[in-house]
Amino acid sequence: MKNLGRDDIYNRISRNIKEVCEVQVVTPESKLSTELGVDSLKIAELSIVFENEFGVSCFLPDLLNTESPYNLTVNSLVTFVEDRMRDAS
Amino acid sequence: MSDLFDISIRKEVAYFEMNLKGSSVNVFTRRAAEQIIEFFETLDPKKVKMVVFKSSKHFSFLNGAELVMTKAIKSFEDIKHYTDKTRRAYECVAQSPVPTVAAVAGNCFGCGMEFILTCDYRLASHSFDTQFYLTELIDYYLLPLFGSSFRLAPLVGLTEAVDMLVFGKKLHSQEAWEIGLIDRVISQDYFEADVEAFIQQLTKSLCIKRHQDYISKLSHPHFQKYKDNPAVDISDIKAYKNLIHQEIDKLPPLRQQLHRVCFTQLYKNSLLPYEQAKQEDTVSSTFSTLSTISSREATNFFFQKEMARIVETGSSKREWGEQGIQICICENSNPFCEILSHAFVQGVEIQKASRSHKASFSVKADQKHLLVKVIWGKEKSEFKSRHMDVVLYFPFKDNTNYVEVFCAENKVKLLKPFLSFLHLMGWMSVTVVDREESPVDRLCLKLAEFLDKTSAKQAVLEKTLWMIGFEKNISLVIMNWRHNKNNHDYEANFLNTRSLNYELALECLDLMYQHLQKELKQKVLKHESQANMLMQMVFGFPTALGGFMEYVKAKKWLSTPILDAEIKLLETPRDQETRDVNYDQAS
Repeated sequence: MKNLGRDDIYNRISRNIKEVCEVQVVTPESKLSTELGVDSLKIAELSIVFENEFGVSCFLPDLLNTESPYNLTVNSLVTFVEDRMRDAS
Repeated sequence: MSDLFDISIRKEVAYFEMNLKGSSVNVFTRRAAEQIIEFFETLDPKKVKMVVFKSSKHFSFLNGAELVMTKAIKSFEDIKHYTDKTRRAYECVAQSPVPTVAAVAGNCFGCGMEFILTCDYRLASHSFDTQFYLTELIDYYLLPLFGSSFRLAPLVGLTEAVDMLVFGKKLHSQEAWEIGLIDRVISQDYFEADVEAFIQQLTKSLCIKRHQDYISKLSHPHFQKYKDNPAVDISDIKAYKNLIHQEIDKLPPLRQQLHRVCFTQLYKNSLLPYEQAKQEDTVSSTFSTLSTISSREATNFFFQKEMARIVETGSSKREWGEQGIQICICENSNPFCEILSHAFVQGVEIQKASRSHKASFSVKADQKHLLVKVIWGKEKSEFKSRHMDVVLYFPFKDNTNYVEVFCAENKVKLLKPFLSFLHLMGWMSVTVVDREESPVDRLCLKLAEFLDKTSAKQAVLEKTLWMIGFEKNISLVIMNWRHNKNNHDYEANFLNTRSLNYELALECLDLMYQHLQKELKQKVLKHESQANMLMQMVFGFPTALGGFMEYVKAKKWLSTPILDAEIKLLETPRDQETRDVNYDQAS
């Protein structure tokens, strides 16, 4: 898959989060754990969903090692996927 | 963050119904802790005479605390920060001025187990999915944080506590009752009604609040033998300690320190009065062991397992037909059918079918039917997937937790509820579509060829893989695969081999890695998580090292503390008297 722009990545991530987490509102600053209800099960599912969406390996638990998972936001996911796509290209 | 508990008060009884929105299982979240603390700190015993904890979810009573919490822990202060609220909540329940009842139906795992220990009474449904399991040490390389190290042994005795906490023994309701963990087992058909009857009976009586030392449980015959020392019921404690240490010696080095700390903690707490044990149960030992065993990697086991399951079922939600699943079993001695005949699973109807050599499976809602054939290892010659709708293949007989499911492409959608059911039974599965070769058979064959070539160095290879952390003896796994048995434990005399050969071991790992990469490219395996799961389930690749594929790809053995640990272990005399760990200083 060709490199997508950050906005494109965000839109796709936002759509998937709404579907998997069954939430209506997603913003770049939305906190994954406390606002969107992303728990361990959702992280595993989102990993698979993002891999299918972006065509790159997206083991999201790695993201949990970078900073406190309670501070992670949708922006964190976007950056994570961006980095993965850049490494893969 | 949504509430875990729906709280209602009826006839002076407070009901805490657990139903975490948007999750297939109940998890003790920080919000749950807040709910408990808010309620109990303002509880008026004149208005509320009893508190009952139940679950509204199928299959899940309480499946632990938030796993992401462990990923947040990077320092000793983090443990206190992230766990204090939960510990406070558990203590609120334990100190409740009115009796508390846990009515358990579904999985009661990890912190869920620790939660019910804070209650005065524990009732359990007689159903297959009602299981009691302390996951912390075995699955996640974590020491328990919420009280099992001082609450469990006084309840069930030290030996049972060690079996559960140190060695991960999983119990069904009946077994839990037999050791005193559960006060009453209730048929799943009458669970709601009988729990209600129990509650009403208790409120009408003197409403006994259990003594904290659990001595006053006169109704259960198990406790009659306890006199001055409720926890320690072993006649030769020294011999018992040595036995446990010997068992721990057989574990891979990655696990040994952790298990020793846990055992020492349990043992010491069991000798102390309850209040003193509680006060001395600190988090310092937990953190020091966490940092050395790299628990953040260990929790990847959960993610790998979930991802492998989601690849199969397509969702983290458990999807069942509108009216559940009906499984028809035939009356023969097929082990799968035997297991099913004992499997009282909520939401799953199991019917005996007429005599047949096949097990039939139907999804009521869709009105579809599937024919399922079960193949055990020795019947491999009968294995022809195109002759059956679905074939279940168990490469290892008895106590297996890995099954391969063969089906045609057009059957995959129908299979999904059934795959969810298999996962509920505790089995991990790989679905093989439109092919006839088992992924496990192919891997075992490759490994068998390697072992045959290197047979002169077998003991050294086994020992080196054990040092790396493999929890199953790889040679025995292959031998048992060939002869369809299931004993992969390391023998005691295996430890006498002192030589190691890392080059050979890494050659073995690389062989398996290359093979699995090929399987992924050819879509025999659909996702890397399936390859990781296969290595973990079949060969005991340690979850503390993360996923197998990433471990080999990134050559992670170069950065693990294995080499230092190896040298230390080989040089340390195996003196049993010096084994007890001062767990406050464990590092």
